[in-house]
Order: sequence, then structure tokens, then C-alpha cells
Amino acid sequence: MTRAYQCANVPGPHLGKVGTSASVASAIKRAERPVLIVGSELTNLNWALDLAKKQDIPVVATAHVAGMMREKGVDPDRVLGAIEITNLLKSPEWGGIRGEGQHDLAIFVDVLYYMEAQMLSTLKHFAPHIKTISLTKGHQPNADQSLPNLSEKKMIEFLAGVVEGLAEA
Amino acid sequence: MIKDGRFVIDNMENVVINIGKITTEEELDEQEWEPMGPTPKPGILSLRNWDHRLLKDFPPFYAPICDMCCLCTYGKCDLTENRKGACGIDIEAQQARMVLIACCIGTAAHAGHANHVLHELIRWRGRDHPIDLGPYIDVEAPIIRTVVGTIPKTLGDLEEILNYVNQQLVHALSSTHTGQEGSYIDFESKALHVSMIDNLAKEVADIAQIAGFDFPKGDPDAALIDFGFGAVDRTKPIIVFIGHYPAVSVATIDYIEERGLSDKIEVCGICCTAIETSRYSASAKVIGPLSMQQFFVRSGIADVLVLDEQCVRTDLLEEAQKTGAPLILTTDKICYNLPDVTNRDTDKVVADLLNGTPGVLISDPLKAAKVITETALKMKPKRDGLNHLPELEEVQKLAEECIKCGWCDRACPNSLPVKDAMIKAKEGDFGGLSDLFSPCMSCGRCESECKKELPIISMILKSAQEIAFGETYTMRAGRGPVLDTEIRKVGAPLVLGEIPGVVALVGCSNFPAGEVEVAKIAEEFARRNYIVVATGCSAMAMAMYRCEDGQTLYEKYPGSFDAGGVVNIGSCVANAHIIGAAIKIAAIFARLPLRGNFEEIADYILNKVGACGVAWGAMSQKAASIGTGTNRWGIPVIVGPHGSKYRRAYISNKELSEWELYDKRTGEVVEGEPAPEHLMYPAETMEEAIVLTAKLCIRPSDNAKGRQIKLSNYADLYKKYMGTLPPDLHLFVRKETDIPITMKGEVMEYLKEVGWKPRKAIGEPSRLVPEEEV
Repeated sequence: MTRAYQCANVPGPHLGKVGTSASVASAIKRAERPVLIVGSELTNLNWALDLAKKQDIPVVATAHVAGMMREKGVDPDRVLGAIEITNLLKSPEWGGIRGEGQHDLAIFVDVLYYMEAQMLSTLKHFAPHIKTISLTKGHQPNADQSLPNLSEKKMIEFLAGVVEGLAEA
Repeated sequence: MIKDGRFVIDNMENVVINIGKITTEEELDEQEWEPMGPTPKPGILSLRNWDHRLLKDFPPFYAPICDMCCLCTYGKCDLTENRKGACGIDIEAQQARMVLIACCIGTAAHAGHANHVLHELIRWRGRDHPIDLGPYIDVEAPIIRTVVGTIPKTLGDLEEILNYVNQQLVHALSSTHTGQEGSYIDFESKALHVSMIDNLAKEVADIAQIAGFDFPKGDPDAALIDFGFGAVDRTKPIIVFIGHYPAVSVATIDYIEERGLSDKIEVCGICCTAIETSRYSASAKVIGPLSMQQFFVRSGIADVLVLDEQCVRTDLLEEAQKTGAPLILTTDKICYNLPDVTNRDTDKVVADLLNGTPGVLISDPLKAAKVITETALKMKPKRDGLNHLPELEEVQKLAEECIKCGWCDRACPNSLPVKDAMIKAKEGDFGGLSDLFSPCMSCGRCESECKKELPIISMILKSAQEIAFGETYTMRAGRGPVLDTEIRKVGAPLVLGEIPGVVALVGCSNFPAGEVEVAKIAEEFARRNYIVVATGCSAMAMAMYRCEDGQTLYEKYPGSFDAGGVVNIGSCVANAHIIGAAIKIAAIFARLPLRGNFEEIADYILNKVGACGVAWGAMSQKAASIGTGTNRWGIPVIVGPHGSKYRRAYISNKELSEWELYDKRTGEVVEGEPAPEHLMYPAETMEEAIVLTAKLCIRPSDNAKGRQIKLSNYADLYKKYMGTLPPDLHLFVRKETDIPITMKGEVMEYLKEVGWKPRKAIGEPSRLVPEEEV
């Protein structure tokens, strides 16, 4: 069994799945209104921005990541704290980033690991209307799907696999 | 003269007269100092409406850290997917219950401290010892006045207040028993209540300390204390106090002085005891906050280690034994299964310790003082020449044993790159290990996880020894309460916004990226003319930093409670004075009666006093109760990312929120503004916290000039870190006159873009709608 990256972070009897590139790509494809939440670790910022552009997924920049995105010439769709976007996601009545309705998939990338674990816990418990994927370094058992614990090289391969999977018809 | 007590009348069988507290004429006059307000000594239900009002604007946000409840033998109960526990509890109520338990623990720790220190001081000084906070403080004990409705004049008067504290704590804790409260909102109300009681206990503790130990009475020019590993004179016997309760360190300093040994022994401290000790004697050295505890003990510099209570590592007996330093425990809170030798002859105890007894418990501070001093004097020559850290060659050899499994990184709360540092050290490059010294909190979880049992903390310390031991900083001694004269000066500009806010850096040292961030937050706001106040580990962490000009923050900025001041208020229990300052603004500037008048005062603070707490390294249950209590008084608190593990925040729903306020001047319910937007908020990064702090200092009472100043800071910081104007700026601009002059063009353009329309400022903003209008 894959353990949480921070190894004592064992939430309880119901743990999310360890995703594969193909399963992550498939979940993104299936989603009608996904949202990408990009945090302060910055490990995969470029990959995340590329994904958002290619798949037309709205981006929420948490912490002070917006400043770094703008330095790259990218404007995030919203700037919200990790807890603020999580709070909005758990309200079924919220209209989503684009006002098109509440999101049905939240993809977390690079939010500080242990804080992301808490935000995913909130969504697991209080947002049954939304699926979650964590593509932050290290396995997150509170996400519906999360990366296994990977080396840097393997992680790059995993993310490249997600892009390939999305490109397939 | 009639005294209180139990009397039997001579020659009258079966007649006993019990006389409780005698009220003197002086006390009768005192009772008239203000009319009694509606809620003296509030019980759990008394302020429930206020809590519910707060929680309407700032609903609890739960992030369970555990999906189960394991508190009774029905359990474990799985609370996922709307499952209920065997007692009927759901996941929200369980989170709130755990928060209440944490707040009760925190309150008990401070109340335990208050009880200890008060009873010891009554033993030393007597019940009638006066509480005198000096000529510049008339409104002393603002929390006691507001909550309890009395003015304590003597140490004995504080006992009655602690009786109330202890009673409320029992009621709050009892509601967490299986099968009592079932509503998360009411669990939260109880958490707010018991945390207000925590604030009260802290005020009792610190007032007792100031009166009994003659600590500084709000002195803005309190002494600059030598700070850091490098400050310790290693040629002398070294005594190190760890914890919070200062009676033992005070007694030791007195004993040392009485014996004429002041220049022959080093007295040092870690954590809040260090702050307290340096409030008593400016020659005491402060080694650092909690995060330095394990590092310093491992260094082996201490000849005697003395523990009192709160926030002390629980394995220090084992750690002390590794260095050969005797361990002396001094309170009932920490006993480590060591023998209680309080009643043994002190010379024999010293002999035992010199002959290898690893540690003892001595609960009498005066006896402990003698044992500590005599042991240190005799132990020093025995320990001279001992080397407690591995040499660099040994560090390299140890690193060579590393199997690169990476579990150290995964055990680290901050996921620091320990494995990579080990790989470098194998090659003789100690830079990686050295770089870990600053961000590492020396918790030692990496060591516990290490399959090769490498002493990683010692290896980091050795690799960073030039950084660790090479620098001496300064910290201003904890000054205690804010003076009435200072409040008179800053009250109006604070309420009107012309001083943009009070930023209170408080709490523990579980920082996400080392001590430096809390210093940077302080510097950012001091430069911008906010009033920066600090307590506890944060006050110490701020000392471990030099500004660009080479000065420490305490050298560069004045210690007065004024714009641009950097004020070390004191230890954890001195946090009461920060809330006290906000209360005193209501009392002195607005002339509101305090006595038993909690709601009106908290409402005033929430709507008019632009203060924001930042507990960047909040870790303990004490920090939970400090923060939650601060919230009940209407002061928002930002915690660091680790604070998300407290399971609960109080945040607004942003665009889903309604911001209704009551205008006391017109008697109307009016559209308000998100000022403050959140009440308890975990931020992910320092930069996010800085921007949010500026925003959370905005209040509906700001005048146009004040709002301009606050928005100028908020917008400037937002641009600095996020690259644009804040996207919610329009929510805070009431009229054109609120717009910072230097940003007028771009702000007007933005307001036009978002369809902004001017609105009226609220004359007398309040959240307390009179009952008949509800």
C-alpha cells in the first residue's frame, strides 16, 4: 500500500487511489468544469500553466504565486488563498471561477504538501459534488487520485504521460 | 476586628458562624468605580449570542486531520461520508469538539502557570502584596475588569479570579465528554468562551509576575538583552532554564546575587522562561525560542538543565544524560519518573547529582535555587573538556552510513531535504547540513525515522557551528503592559486608521521556513509605521535577524507602543496585554465602560481597532486558545500553514457572504464591508500573510485619511507580491476620498472597469443590533 508522503499523515479507513498518468488524464477528460489550483511549491508551475492553456482549465493561484505567474506573462483566472478556494469549492451554490456553475473536478498542483492535505480533507468530507486530483510531489491519501511517491525524474515522466493521455482521442 | 473564617460562639452549643469574604469600606468605594455591566463573570451561555453573531460572518471551516473519533470504547468510529459515531456525533461536531479540547488544554496550561506563580508569590510576598503597575497605568487589568468586573488590588484578589477561571474550565471541558454537546456551532461558542478564560488566566499570571517579581511595568526602554548561542560565556558554569514558569529562575538569580556570584555564573533560558528571566535580570542570556531547544541541549554547553513547565521536550532526561548535564525538574507538570527530593537535605542532593544521579525533582523554588547553583559551580570543572558534538570527520563518517532511503525527508514536518544534505556530507561537503540549521525546528522526527539511527540534529548543528555560535544578537526585554499614556497618544489615530494597524506577532516557533520569516514580517510593517508588538517565541525569533544596516529589529526600532515601534511585550502569558491594549483603546479613547461589559467592548474592537495577530509558527494547544480567545475579542488572527492542522479556521465566504452591519448613529442595518474579511486564517506563505495582514487591519470606522493610508499599504503590498492592484479593492473604497492620492489614476481606472459606485461610510459600525430590533 502506498503511504502518504509525509508518512504519519494517515487520515482514516477511506483512502484515495494512487493515480496513473492514464487515470488522471481520463478524469480530466471526463470533467465538465475542472479547476486547477496552483500553489507555492513551484515545482511544476510551467507544466501546470501549459496544461491549463491546452485544456482551457481556469487557474487559481494560491499564496503569492500570482506574482510569479505574471512574471511569466500569465494572468491567473483568480488569486485566492488555498483555504479560500477550498471554501468556495465546498459550497454547492458557488458559480465557479467562470460563473458557469460549481466545478466538478479540482486539480491541486504544488500547494504546500501538508496544507494541501488539509484542503483535500475538507473537500473529501464536505464537497461530495467534486472530485479531487493531487499532482503535488508526494502521495496525498485525501485526494480521490494522487501521485505515488516518485523521484523527480519519474514525476516528470508521470506528468508527461498525463499530457499524452489528454492528447489521445 | 472581624475576619473571615469559621467561628464557634462560646457557651452556645451547635452554633457556628461562617463569614465568607469581608467587604471593607475601601472595597465598597471600589465597587462604585463603574456601574456593573450586563455580563460579569460570564458563564458558557452568557456570551453565546455574541459568538453566534461572530460565527455568522466568519463561519467555521473544518479540515479534519483524522477521519475518526477514538475517544471512547465504542470507537474507532468512522465519520466519513455523513456517517455518525456511535454516540451520534458527526464529523463537523467532532472537529469542533477537538478544537474545544485543544483550547481547554491551552487554557489549562496558562491557568496552571497562573495558579503556580500566584500561590508561590503569595508564599513569598503575602496575600496583601499590592498590585502596582506604576504611575502610567491607571486602567490596569483591562481583561479582568471587562470579564470579571473587579479591579484586583493585591495578589490575594487574584485568587478569586482564578477560582472563576478554574470553574469555567471545568464546565467547558466537561461538555466534550461523550454524549454532551452535539452542535458544532455551540462547541465553537464554548471554545471561544474557554479561550477568553485563557486570556483572563494569562492576565492574572502576568500581573502577578509583574507585581511579585518587579518585572518592567510597561517600560518602552526596557533593557537590550544579549541573545543567541554566541552570547553565552562558556568559560563560566552555565545554567539553562527551559519552559515558562519563572519562579525558579528568579529564585536562582537571587541566590546567586546573595552569594556574590553574579559575574561567575551564566544564567540562560530557552523559550518563555528565557523572556521571563530577562525581565528580572538584564544580565540573563536568551538562547532562543522553542525551535532551538534540541539544538542547544545537544551542544552540551549547559552544566545544569532546569525544566519548569509548558512546551518542554518530553525526552530531555535522555538528552541531558547524553551530555552528562544533571536535570532538575521544578514543577508537578514534568516529573519524568524522577525522585522528588524537595524534602531531602540540599547538600546531599547536590552530592547525588555530582555523583551521577541523572536528575531530581524539587518543587520548592527556593531549595531548587540552591541546588541548581551549587551543582553548576561544582559540575563545571567535571564537564570542562568534554566534547558533545561529533567532529566534522565523524559527521562525514556518519553520513557514509546513510542508505539514501529518504524517510528523513518524509518524516520532516517541513519536508526539508535532509537526504540530499547527507549525500553531500558523504563527500565532505557540509553545506547542505549547514543550510538546514535555519529552517530546521530541531524536532528530531528525522532521527526517529532514520533506520541507521544517525544523530541528524547533532550533525546539522556541528556543520552549522560557525553560524550557530558565531553570532550574538539583542532582544529588548519583555516590557509588559501598554501604558495609558501611550494609548492616549495612539487611540484616535488607530481608530481612525491614521496609524494603519497593530500587528501582533505571537505564538510558537513551528515556522514553515525558519525564524527569519517572522522577522521579515515585523520589519515590513515597522517600516510602514504600523505598531508591531510581539510575544513569546515570535518575539525571540525576531531577534535572530539583522536588517540591511546590520542592526537587529530591537536595536533599529523603538520599543514604544507607537507607529513604527517594535515592542516585545513579554512571554506567552503577556499576550494578555495585547488584547488589553485594544480594550484600553475602548476605555480611554472611546470612554466605554469596561466593567462586566464584554460584548460592547469586543464589538468596538472588531469594528474599530485595526489590529491583526500573526501566529506564524503556531504549534501548541496554548496557541490554539490564545488565537481563539483573541478572536472572541474581535481581533483576526493569521496562522502559518502548519496552523491548518488545527482543523478549524474562521473564514468568510467571500462573494457568498453578506456584510450587514448596524449603524448605531442612524439606527439602521446597513451594507457593510469585509473589514476584517476573515477571523482565523491559515496562510500558505509569508508573502500571502503579509498582504493579508495589511488587509485585515482595515476597519469600518476608518476615516477617509485612515482608509487611504491602509489601502495604500494593502495595494502596495499586493502589487509587490502579486503584481497587480488587489482584485477586491473596490470593496474597500467607500468614496473617492478613500483612494490613496499616489494611486488615484490607476485606482479610478480600475473602479470604472468594475462598475464601482460610491457608498456612505458607516457612522457607528456595530454588530450588536438592539434586542427590540432583532
